[in-house]
Amino acid sequence: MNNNVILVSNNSPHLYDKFQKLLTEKNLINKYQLKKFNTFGLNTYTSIIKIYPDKIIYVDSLENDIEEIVNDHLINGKIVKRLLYKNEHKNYLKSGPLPIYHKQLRLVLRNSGLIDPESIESYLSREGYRALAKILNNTTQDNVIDEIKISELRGRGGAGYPTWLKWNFTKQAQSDIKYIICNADEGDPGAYMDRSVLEGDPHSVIEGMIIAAFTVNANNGFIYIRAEYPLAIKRLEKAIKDAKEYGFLGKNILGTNFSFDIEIRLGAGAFVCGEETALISSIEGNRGMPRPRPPFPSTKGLWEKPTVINNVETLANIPLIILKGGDWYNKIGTEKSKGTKVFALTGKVKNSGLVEVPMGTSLREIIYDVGGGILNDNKFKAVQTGGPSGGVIPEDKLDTPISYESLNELGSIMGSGGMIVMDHTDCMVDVSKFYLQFSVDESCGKCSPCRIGGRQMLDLLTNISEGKSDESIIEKIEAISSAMQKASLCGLGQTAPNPVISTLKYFKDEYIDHIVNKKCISGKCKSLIVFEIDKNNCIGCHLCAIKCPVNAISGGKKEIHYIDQNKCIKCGLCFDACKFNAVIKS
Amino acid sequence: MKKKFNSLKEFYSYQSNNTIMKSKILVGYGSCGIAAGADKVYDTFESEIIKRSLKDIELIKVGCLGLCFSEPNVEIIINGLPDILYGKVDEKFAVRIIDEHIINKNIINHNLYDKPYIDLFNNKES
Ligand SMILES: Cc1cc2nc3c(=O)[nH]c(=O)nc-3n(C[C@H](O)[C@H](O)[C@H](O)COP(=O)(O)O)c2cc1C
Ligand code: SF4
Ligand code: SF4
Repeated sequence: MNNNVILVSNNSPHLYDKFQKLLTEKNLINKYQLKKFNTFGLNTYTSIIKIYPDKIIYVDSLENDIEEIVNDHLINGKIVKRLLYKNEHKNYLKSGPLPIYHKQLRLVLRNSGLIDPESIESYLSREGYRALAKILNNTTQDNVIDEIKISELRGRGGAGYPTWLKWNFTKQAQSDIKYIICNADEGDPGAYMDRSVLEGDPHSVIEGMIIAAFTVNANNGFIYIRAEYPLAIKRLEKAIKDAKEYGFLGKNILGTNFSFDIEIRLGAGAFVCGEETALISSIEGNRGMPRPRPPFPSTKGLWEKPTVINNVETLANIPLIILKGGDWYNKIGTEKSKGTKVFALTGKVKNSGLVEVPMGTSLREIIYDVGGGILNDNKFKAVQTGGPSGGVIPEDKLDTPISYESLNELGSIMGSGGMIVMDHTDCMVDVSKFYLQFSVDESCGKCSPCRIGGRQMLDLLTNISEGKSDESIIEKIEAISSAMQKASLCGLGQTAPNPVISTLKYFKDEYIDHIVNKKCISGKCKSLIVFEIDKNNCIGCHLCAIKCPVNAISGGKKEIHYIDQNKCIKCGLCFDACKFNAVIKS
Repeated sequence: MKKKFNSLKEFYSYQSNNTIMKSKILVGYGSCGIAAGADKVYDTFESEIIKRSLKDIELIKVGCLGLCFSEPNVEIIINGLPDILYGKVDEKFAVRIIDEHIINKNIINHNLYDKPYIDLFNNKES
């Protein structure tokens, strides 16, 4: 087998060609497998070259360097030190494990894509259930709380509440019966982190739940998951069954006197059911409506019993913290936000997908280094985080290191991890209308600030997008926003104005353009665009009239055509069809 | 295989049989992979393995690597060669992977992707 492999990153095709030329000249071409690969560090390095079996990475090599690599390294076995990848800790790394030149760090997704999620053996082969065994072996409940406290893990479901504190409240609560709930409702549009974790590595979440149960003295657990996630449900069911068979769940876990069981509860897909008190009421068999807090679920939750409710990603972190230690975890991230965060990177970005980065990574690094930049190399306009409870972040804030605090300061939130990239073809009025529409549709209707305020605000935004407003409208929007934020019962209503407020903050000009000039530069707000025929250019070919789906265009052959604005639905087909630039969009 | 650990001791003395070094074909089989056709790719690998009676090769459905834009993703792990990740694999490409990469040990110069991170546990190459 020819196991000499040279991999050259695809952003430097000239280096690949140079290798090919030199290897051919020196009659070595049959000794090496020379291949190109797609990389993600495109903006970090001009080139990446990996050489196997030596496991050497060279970065930022230039064309002239290739000769040296071939002569010194390939022929004489001498590593070219000056080209080696360097990181901040060491001057260079010699052979051995390849260095992390990527921006991603996978803790929560440590097994996803590497193991068979339907095989418990597969999970066991990667330290699976070792954390559970460790705490059952020689750890007290207080030790676990301490370890999580040291790690400074905070909830990944949105609010970022310290996990150890939550657990401690439940642990201290006096009750024979306590519960653990895993919140896998994941209702934000554009978010699918939790689904991927459950589909890719269900046991990590189950192990996290068992550890939580041990720590707070709970004997029953529920995973509340939306019915629209059939594959995740199937894998969870298999994982729970296998864990029972192996003795990690059920009576007397691993021969100890600790017992714990997990059941799955299917949610019907309402966004508000992800809110913890609504979720609890849904498990109890009632309508999924929030109730006022306090009392918090940690002391009075499911069936009025003390209940720990955690997000999927929060729980998947737990086994790792126990295994590697709170200190280890605490070193990752920023001062107040520790560990990593998984984002679902979507929208106008080249490499859309799931991304896990240490807290403190900048938005620019995520979008450009990991995401590969904007689709079609268009101009970046904004990135939306936090879904319907979050906001948009403009270009000049892209270097902000991500943390719970920094995103709040920018008027957005971490949220559960949706991250939608927008370019110049996206209209900010349209975007805020989209999110507000979502919140209005999903409002449970229990309290009036959210039910009525949301509806009114949506009407105002619709007026703006249709050109039926004047400047006083902004004040009205601000008044309603503040009422909703202050008086809504649950997070849905309190945060629903966020997308509107943040777009107003960073893109006020665009609102003014809609309100005063009745213009939508991105062309998204249909009511504000007009299609007309330019009399000077129209040759009467009739093509536009044939394309028009609503027969809004009249005019015989060779005559100047005319668009009836009352009939036109602004589909733009005539604009695309005309070969003589005779259809004008304004 | 059924296994019940009746004590911590039993658990600690257990060696998972999953560590035997076999060649592996990992097919990204999350919702995103399936939507892009991972099921057909998996079936192709399965039938090719049977057809050619390939031994010592494990075909595994795995979760999402995060590279949703290049699904279906397939990773090939063979002793002696670097782990190789192919993106946008279809049925035809799957057959090529069997022929060229698995049987002839020649990496295919097409749609190779860098793994976007380092493995936390094995700490081997990305
Ligand atoms: C409207 C609304 C929807 C929510 N949806 C979710 C969800 O889908 N998943 C989730 O984990 N938390 C969701 N939350 C947050 C939960 O109420 C709760 O804070 C979280 O599950 C706590 O877990 P953590 O501490 O691990 O973050 C939502 C909150 C609100 C107000
Ligand atoms: S804020 Fe909205 S979703 Fe929340 S309780 Fe009130 S009406 Fe229901
Ligand atoms: S925009 Fe569409 S509906 Fe309007 S005139 Fe052109 S083709 Fe007809």
